[in-house]
Amino acid sequence: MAKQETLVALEQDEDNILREFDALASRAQLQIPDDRRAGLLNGYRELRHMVALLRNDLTPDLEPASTFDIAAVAKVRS
Amino acid sequence: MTVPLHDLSIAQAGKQLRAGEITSRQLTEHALSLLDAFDDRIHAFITVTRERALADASVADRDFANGVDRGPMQGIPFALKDIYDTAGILTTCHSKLRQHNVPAHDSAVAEKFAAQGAVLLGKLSTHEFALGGPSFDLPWPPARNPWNQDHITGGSSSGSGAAVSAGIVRVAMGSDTGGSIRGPAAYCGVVGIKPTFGLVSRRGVFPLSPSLDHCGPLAWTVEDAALALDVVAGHDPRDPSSAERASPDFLAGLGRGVEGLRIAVPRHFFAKDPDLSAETAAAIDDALAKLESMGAVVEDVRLPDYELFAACGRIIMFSEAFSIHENDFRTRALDFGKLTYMRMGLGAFITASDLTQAHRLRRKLTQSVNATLRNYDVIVTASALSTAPRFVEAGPRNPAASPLQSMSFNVTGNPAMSMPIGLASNALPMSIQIVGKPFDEAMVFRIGAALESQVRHDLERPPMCRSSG
Repeated sequence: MAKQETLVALEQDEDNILREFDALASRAQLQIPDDRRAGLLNGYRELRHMVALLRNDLTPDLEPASTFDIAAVAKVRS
Repeated sequence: MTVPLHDLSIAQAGKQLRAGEITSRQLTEHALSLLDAFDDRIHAFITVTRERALADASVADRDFANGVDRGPMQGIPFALKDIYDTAGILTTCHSKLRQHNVPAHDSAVAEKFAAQGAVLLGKLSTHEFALGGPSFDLPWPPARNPWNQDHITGGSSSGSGAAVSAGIVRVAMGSDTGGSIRGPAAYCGVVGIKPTFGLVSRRGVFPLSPSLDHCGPLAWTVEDAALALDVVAGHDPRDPSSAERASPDFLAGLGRGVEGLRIAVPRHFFAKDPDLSAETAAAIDDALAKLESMGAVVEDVRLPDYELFAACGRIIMFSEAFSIHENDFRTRALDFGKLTYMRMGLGAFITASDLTQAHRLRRKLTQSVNATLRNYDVIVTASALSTAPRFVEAGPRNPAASPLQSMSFNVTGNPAMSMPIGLASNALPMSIQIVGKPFDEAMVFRIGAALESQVRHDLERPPMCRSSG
């Protein structure tokens, strides 16, 4: 029974991944060539793992201040 | 016994040029003869600038004769990865999308070599747009490893690693976004340094991921690398990321040894990685023991797991790379090689929130590495976890078949150098990585040179090159 539940969960997860993949590709206006779809989809599976890792250990007070530095951007360069 | 011209260091060649014992024309013709002998097997070059090289050599020889000294690269052949703009010379990024691109202006780095009177031998193979490779579906073949042409060079500065390893040039410029200098250096048995972020101008270099891209040299020895970095480092007001600080003397620490220096080893980065070969592990231990025997203090430290650095760097890299190419992805998808498409295309699937989290994590990881470096002079860790894979082991089905531990220091921006530490039983080079404090490349070179003095005798030229006098 537990094995069957695991299989169902995996199938649902796979369905979710495919739905996400197609929605995000559409949002980016990509028409993925047939011979490249499987490879990109595999990469997307790995990407989801990486994205999940990013969110471990990040506290709310940790700001990404390095993305914008007014002193650097506003500097007059010759 | 006469030393073959390609085995003269840049400093040695410089002395002989200035003493009138050799000419730049002799050096250049020798380099071209090696190129003619080897390049049909290693495919290091996309464009050979033969006439330009001979003209550069003539100018250098005339300057030497007139007592004009423009700097240490005067009269020395070098080459550029084919993402560096060169005025009037094809600059392709190894891609069909730019196969006819001829820039109007030199990159800042090309300008600096030209100002020193260096001899431009040509433009070097890369992975497509410094990301997709090794690939056989591009207008030019991938570079092959001079140590064994069935094996990859690593990338993306693939031609740079191959050309230096084969002795065609003592120094070639590469770029490094996640290990693209250090990987080819590791697999081809040469020295490659990714300098501190902002130290070398990226003006006129086609970007892969602007917040992670670094320009730097691959060279045959630590001293050659230090000397080349000295040529190209320095503030460029036309590069928004260029650091406003004077370049130190990168050669100052060479020969000073490592007595009393403190070395941190994040062994957990690599020790349990399934890709680590037993021979590489033993070679790293041996190198650390040599540093310890020379008087360095070597201690294990704990950093955040490498997997976190890799995830953070890749999310940023894919996002930035896709943003550069998104219009071509929509309109010219089939003009990208398959590997490039499948790697870079991942940027389309990253959300704004994902990218923001990556930037937050980047800050935390950078603080962590530099907190460790407050108590140590350098971090030493693995570079490549094993020797160069065969072409059949790398490719679309297994794009990660070149295990490196390099992305961490693109994320943090610290200087990081890969250098050879011997040959494995399969006659391919093994490597180690030395990481310094921001803008402390001199310490990285100092420790690298000390280690090189202990291990270099193990490493000759690749077999294909040994009969070239």
